[in-house]
Order: sequence, then structure tokens, then C-alpha cells
Amino acid sequence: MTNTITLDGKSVEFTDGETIYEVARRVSTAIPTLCYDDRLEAFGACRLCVVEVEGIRNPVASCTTMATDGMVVKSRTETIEKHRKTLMELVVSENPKGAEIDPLRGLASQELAHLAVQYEADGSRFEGAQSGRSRTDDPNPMILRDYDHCISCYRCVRVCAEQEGDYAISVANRGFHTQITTEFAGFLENSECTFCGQCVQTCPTGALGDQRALKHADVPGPVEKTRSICPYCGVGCSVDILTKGDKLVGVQPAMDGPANEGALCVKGQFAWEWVQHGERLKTPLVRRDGELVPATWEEAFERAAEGFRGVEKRHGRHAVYAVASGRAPHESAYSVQKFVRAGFGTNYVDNCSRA
Amino acid sequence: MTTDQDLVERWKPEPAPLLPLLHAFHERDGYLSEEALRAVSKGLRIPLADLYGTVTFYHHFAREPEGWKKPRVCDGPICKLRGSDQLLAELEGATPMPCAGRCDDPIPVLRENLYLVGRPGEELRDTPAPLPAPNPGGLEECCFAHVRSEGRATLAGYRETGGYRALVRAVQEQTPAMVLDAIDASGLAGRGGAGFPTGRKWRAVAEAPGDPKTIVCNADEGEPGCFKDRVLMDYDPHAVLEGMALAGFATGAKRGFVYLRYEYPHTQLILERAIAEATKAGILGDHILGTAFSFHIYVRRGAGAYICGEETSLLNSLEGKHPFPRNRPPYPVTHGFEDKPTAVNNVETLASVAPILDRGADWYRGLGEGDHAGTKIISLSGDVERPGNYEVPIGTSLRTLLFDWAGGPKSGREIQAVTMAGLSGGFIRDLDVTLDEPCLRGKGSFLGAGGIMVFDDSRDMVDLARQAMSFFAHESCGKCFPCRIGTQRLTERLSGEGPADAEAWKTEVHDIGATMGAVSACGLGIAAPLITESLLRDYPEAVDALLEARTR
Repeated sequence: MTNTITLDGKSVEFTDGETIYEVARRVSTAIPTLCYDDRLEAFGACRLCVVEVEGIRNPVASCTTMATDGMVVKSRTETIEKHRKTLMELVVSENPKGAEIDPLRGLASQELAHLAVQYEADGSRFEGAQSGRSRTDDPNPMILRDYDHCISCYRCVRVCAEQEGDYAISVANRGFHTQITTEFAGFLENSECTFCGQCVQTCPTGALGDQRALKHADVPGPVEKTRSICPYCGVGCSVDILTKGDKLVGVQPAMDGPANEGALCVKGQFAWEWVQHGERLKTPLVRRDGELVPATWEEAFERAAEGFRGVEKRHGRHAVYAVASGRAPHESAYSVQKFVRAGFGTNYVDNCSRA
Repeated sequence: MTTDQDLVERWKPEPAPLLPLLHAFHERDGYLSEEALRAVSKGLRIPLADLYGTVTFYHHFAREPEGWKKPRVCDGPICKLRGSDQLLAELEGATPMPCAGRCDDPIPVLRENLYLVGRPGEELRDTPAPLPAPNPGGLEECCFAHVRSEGRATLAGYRETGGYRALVRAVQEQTPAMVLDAIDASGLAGRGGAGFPTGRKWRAVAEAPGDPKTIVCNADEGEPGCFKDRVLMDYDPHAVLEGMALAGFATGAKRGFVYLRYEYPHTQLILERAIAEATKAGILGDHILGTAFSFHIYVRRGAGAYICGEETSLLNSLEGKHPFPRNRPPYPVTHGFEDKPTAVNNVETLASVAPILDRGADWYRGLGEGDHAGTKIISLSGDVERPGNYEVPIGTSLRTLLFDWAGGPKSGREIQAVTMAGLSGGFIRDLDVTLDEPCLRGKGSFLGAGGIMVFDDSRDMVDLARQAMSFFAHESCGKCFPCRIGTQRLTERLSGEGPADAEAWKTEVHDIGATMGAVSACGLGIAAPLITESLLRDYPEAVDALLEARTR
């Protein structure tokens, strides 16, 4: 027996447990959303994904409604599009500056702006008070908390709880006065936050922003993305390296990264400024007359070998101890232990990840 | 003094411990301090940020020292008419609170755990809520049949007229199926507003897999203009408890919670006394009357949030979670308290159960007018001679209630509007309606929990609408976009803001209402625009006056 629904006149198969939204997305039927992140439990807040289902009086949120056999769904009727436009106009009425959001703020930061254009929500209707109070007083150098742009979709709160398991932030107050907060409305650094940046990357408005990337907002030129692997540890998180010309301007997690599915840690997300740091080492240095001076790799290796041999000679083979870096991939870690065991005949080898 | 640890140890082993533990700290310290929240977070293993967010959701938890001691004065629509602004100014440190359910004897003032009544220029007094007047139509009643008897709240008083007879018979002689059949046959439907057939709900819980099952009595009577559940619990608590126990017997649930609104602290004492009395007599608790059936009832007090009257918000609140409504399906009958099958029933619904089982389904059906089954308690307030709770046959004409029973408007005045379902049903101008869902829904309104507020021709309709929308904005949980932003925008427009052009203003109000009504995630957002819709439809002259006054 097959399960099918009729979606906009076409028969579509589905598997048990799929929501209408998931079915629609699988067959490339575009349904707008703002509170949706497919890594998170469907929340049903923005109501943009509403669709008409035959036999049900009011439109239903497709993200929280399971497909059932024989269901007849219309995803884009005139009525539905009118509701979506009104919803977008309402959202824009309290977040009129969406178009000014720099894409460097985060991966999803343009979602609101794009939908506003699509639904021609230009802020001309439903003018009124604006919600959200930015925390420009938060001194942390990584996560910008610009809640003037917050639309209360709570993707940040949910990603922090469901994906990262930190529960560092939550929703304070009710209704129009809801505000994303840490305990007792404090700074992130005094909370459970690990600065993984997942809240930044899922924020659909740029209310949360990557402050490190934003330092390069004024660099001219378009942002290019290059797929790479985070070099920090052996997990192998996929990242997109953001560049403008030959300048590295940011790192974003790859949502389709097989190892990380959009997650990064504080190092992978925010610790990339060393790449372009003025004091970064560009050649090996050796000490001559007590001073570090640039040298060739050849010379550096020879000096290192000399040092190891000297230690071994003076103190015996167990005087050598190697700690491999957590950033080393398997192959390099293997080489380190080989180097220590075969080269010196000792088992004194470890890895910093054990600490 | 009781230590933090004592309080945590007292509540941690109990079911649904968060709210009572928070109340224990609130009352010990006079507010919820950072240290208290840290102790609760650690004790119940709730992330601190989550707990902080959840506590800020409820408007009655004070977070500044001495906050619990400060008077909260009802500024609901009726109390406003009776001078709540003046009373607020007179009482030192007083803050307004939404309707606290004493529209028949305003103005309620809450101070610590005292539920007082005040009038501008007078001393606050601690007097019990008024009893319903004897049925003015001389009709037979269901819930109110014995509520006026002296001592009815005691076990002896309750048993005098056959109280607990239905439960005794059920556990000793009947099967759950027999109880379900009788409730089905009676036509009893949810009296909290949604009107879902009670028998069907119970059957769904009985048949749903999962254990333990739970009965929740929804006593979070937060709808402005509704004060019927309070009078039932205050004067006839055993009727509610018996209804819960029968629900437990019929569905296989072994425990029940009364989720009581914060504003009724005295009611908590009455309920707890009644539970203790019934437990001592072997009518509640383990092995009721020596049978295999056990049923325990716990009272849990809310902390100020209208949305917690919505059953899935209520369940989240009981579980100690952020009280956003849940997405449905699944419904509570299969995934309720702690994701187990749960029947959530209103106080009045549960209070109807024992009389129905005692006197028969046909008797109950026959109480209604014409084809309508049963009765409904209406909380009537505002500009009528005799406000109060009235138990009417379903299908009674509104005019009969307003004019024959309640004495009509004050002399020299005419009724300009009545609200339905408290505020949720919007305004009704045409009084030629009957009090039943088919008729009222046909008029774009609904009976709901049965609160009717009456406003005579001296009242400003636009301002009443603004107060109503401001209430909904205050109580919007903030989860779904249309309600969170829509209630705010409608409040602003009813305050005179919005487009200068009158037609553009009306189009905005209508568009917001249409989208809220169609796509909001729960009943609050769906019902709130009935206020503006009925205002635009039935009071165009008042709207035009507002819009003209702006241009002057």
C-alpha cells in the first residue's frame, strides 16, 4: 500500500511521519517559512507555511501537520498568499530595516529580507511600535545581539537547546514583549553559552551576528564561499570559507556537512583571524645567538633533529615524549607515534585530546 | 526559617512540582530572588535560563523584594466601570491585574494570599464571593441545584443531598463503559468554551494506550467576565472532586490535578480541605471504598497567565515548561500530561458529571431548551440590575436572561452591547439571540465559557474594544506571529493610531483580523479579532467617530 497526498493537483507519495512541508520540499514545491530549521523540531510559530487542506476549515501549518493518506493540499491559493502577505507585512512593520542586514552577519541572515521582497512587504502598512531591545552592552567579541531585528521565531533558543544542548538562552516575557535572554538578562559570557555560534547562523534576520566577520563589512566586493574542512580537530566539520577578493572575511558552517550538519564549535566558528594576523609565522625560526631568526625548512629540521639526538644521548630514550595535536588528522597522529616509537624506542606518546 | 533545601525536598518528589515550589519561595521571601531560582534550577534540574524565561512569563511572580506584598487591583472591563483606576491610585504600590473573576462584586484586590474586595474611598474587606441568586425562572438546575445550601462545601453537607452517591455506585456496581455511555447519552459538552463532547473525550482517553493517565480540571478561569468556576469551587468543591474521580474511573486515570488560577488563593484552601476530608473518609485516595480503584487529586496553582487556560499551555505549565501552546495533533487525549493520555475538563463540566450519573442522562438532556441538551452557567456582569451567575437551559433567549432574570439595564439606560464568551466572542448588538452555540456562531460569535458583560448606551464602544484588545495583547504568549504582532497592532489602531485615511485604517484592521482569525496557532489569536470584527460590523458610527476625532 502506498501513501499519497494530492499536492496542488499532483499526486505525491510520502512515508509515514513526513509532514506536509517535508513532502512539499522534497518535490520542490516552495513554501515560505521563517521559524523553520530542518534540524529542529517543527515549531509552528511564523504561520507562513500554512496551506489549505480539504475538509479542514482553517489553513494548517504545513510544518507541524503530518501528511495522511488521501489528503488534498493546496499550497498557494489566493487566500493563502493573502495571509502570507499580511503576515510578512506585520513582521516587516516591526522590523523595517531587514534590507540593510549585511550577509556577513550569518548564514540565514537574509531570509526575512528575501521574503519581504517576494511578498512586497515594504513597511508601508501596519506601522507601529517595535519590539526587541538590542544588547549592545554585551561585551563579548563574537556574537552580536542586535535584537531590534529579532522577530521572535526562537530558532536561536531552540538550536541552543536541541542541537547544542547548552540551554544558555531562553524567552523572557510574553507577547509583543518577548525578548531573547540569558538567565537574569545577563551577558553571554556569564551564561552557559559556549559561543558555538549556531544561534548566529540560524537567525533569519541577522539579529544575531558574527562580530568577527562584520569587521570586514566595509571591505568592497562580493562575498565568495569556498567549501573546506575545519582544520581544528579530527571531526572534520565542513565549513564555507567566506572571502572578499583574497581576504578571508568569515567562516560559516555547512548545513550539508556530513560530520557537522551545520554545527561548529567556538574555534571553528570564530577563531580564524590568525590566518591574516600580522604576527603570524611565515617561515621557520631558529635561535642564533639567543635571537629567533628566519631559516629554511632544511635548517630547521636539522636543528630539531640535533636537539632530539642530544637529549636522547644525554638522558636516554625515555627522555623524549611527544604530544600530538588534537588538530592532527589520523594520518599525522599515526606518524607522530611512529616517529616516537620507531625513532626513539619509547612509548611516551600522547594526544592533547585526552586532556 | 525554612531553608531552600527544605522547600526543594518538600516538593521534589511530588508530581508537577515546579509551580508549587516556586510559590513556596515566592511566599517565603516575598519575591522570587536569583538565589531562589538557582536553588530551584538545581533542585529540579531545570536549566537556569529556561527557568528564568518561564518565571518571567507569569505576571504574578514578583521578582523584586516585597513584590508579593503589593496589592494587585483588577482593572478588567467591569472593574474599570466601577472605579478601578481610582482604587489603584489610592492603594500604595498597587499595580493593575487583568480580570480576577469577581465582576458580580467588584473590585477584587489581591494582596499576598488574600482575595479582598475594594471600592474607591472604602476600606478593603475580606468577604466571600456572592452566591448565585435562586433561579429566577424557577427552573430545575444541574450544577447550582444545591450550591446555596448551608454547609455544602463540607463532606457532610455534600452527602446530605446524595453527594458521592454516583461515585460510590460507579466503583461498587458499574463498569467504566457504563459511565462513558451515560455521559455520551447526556450530551454533556465542554463548558470551558470549546464545547467538545465530554463522553467522546473520555472515551478517547480510555482507549488510548499509555499509563499513567491523568485527569486535569481546568480551573484557570482567566476569561474576563467569567466567575462561574470560582463559585462552584468555593461553594460546592466536592461536586468538582466527585466529577474528577468519576472521570478517572471512566478513563482509567489514577490521578488528577486541579489547575487553579493564581487569583483564587482562598479557593485553593477550600479545595485542599475538601480533598483531605474526602480522603479521610476513603472516598478519594488509595482503594476508594475498599475497591480496586484509586484516585489522587493534587491542586496546582497558576501564576498569572490567561493562556494557561488553553489546555496545551496548561499542560506545559503543569509540567514546568514554558507555557506556550503545543502544536496539535497529537491531542491531550493521547499525548497530554507528560505525554500520556489526559482528559482536560472545565470545572463546570466536571461539576455536572455526578448529577448526570445520579439522575440519568435523559434528565440532563431534558434540562435544555428544545433540542439543546443541558444547562450552562452564565456569568453576567456590567450594566444590569442584578449581575451574577445564572444557570440557564441551553437555548434560552438572551433577552429572557437580561431582562426577566437580571432586571434589564439601569433605569433610563438602554443596552448598547453585550460581550460573549467573556471577551473572546466579541460584541453582540442584536439581543434577539438564544444562548447556544449554533445560534451564536451563526452571528459570528460564540458562547464559550459563558461570560456575558453588559454595556449600556453611556459606554464608549471603541474604548471598550481597545481595553479588550489590550487584554489580548497583554496575554498573547508570543509564540505565533499573527497573534503576537496582530494584537499589538489592533490595540494601537483602537487607540487611534494607524493610517490617517479612514478606509486604509479599516482595511488594515480587517486584514489583520482576517489573518489572525484564520492562521493563529491557538484560540486566543483566532478569537481576539472578533472584537474588532464586531466593532466594525455593528458599531460603524463609533468607529467613524474615532476616526473623525483624529483628524480634528
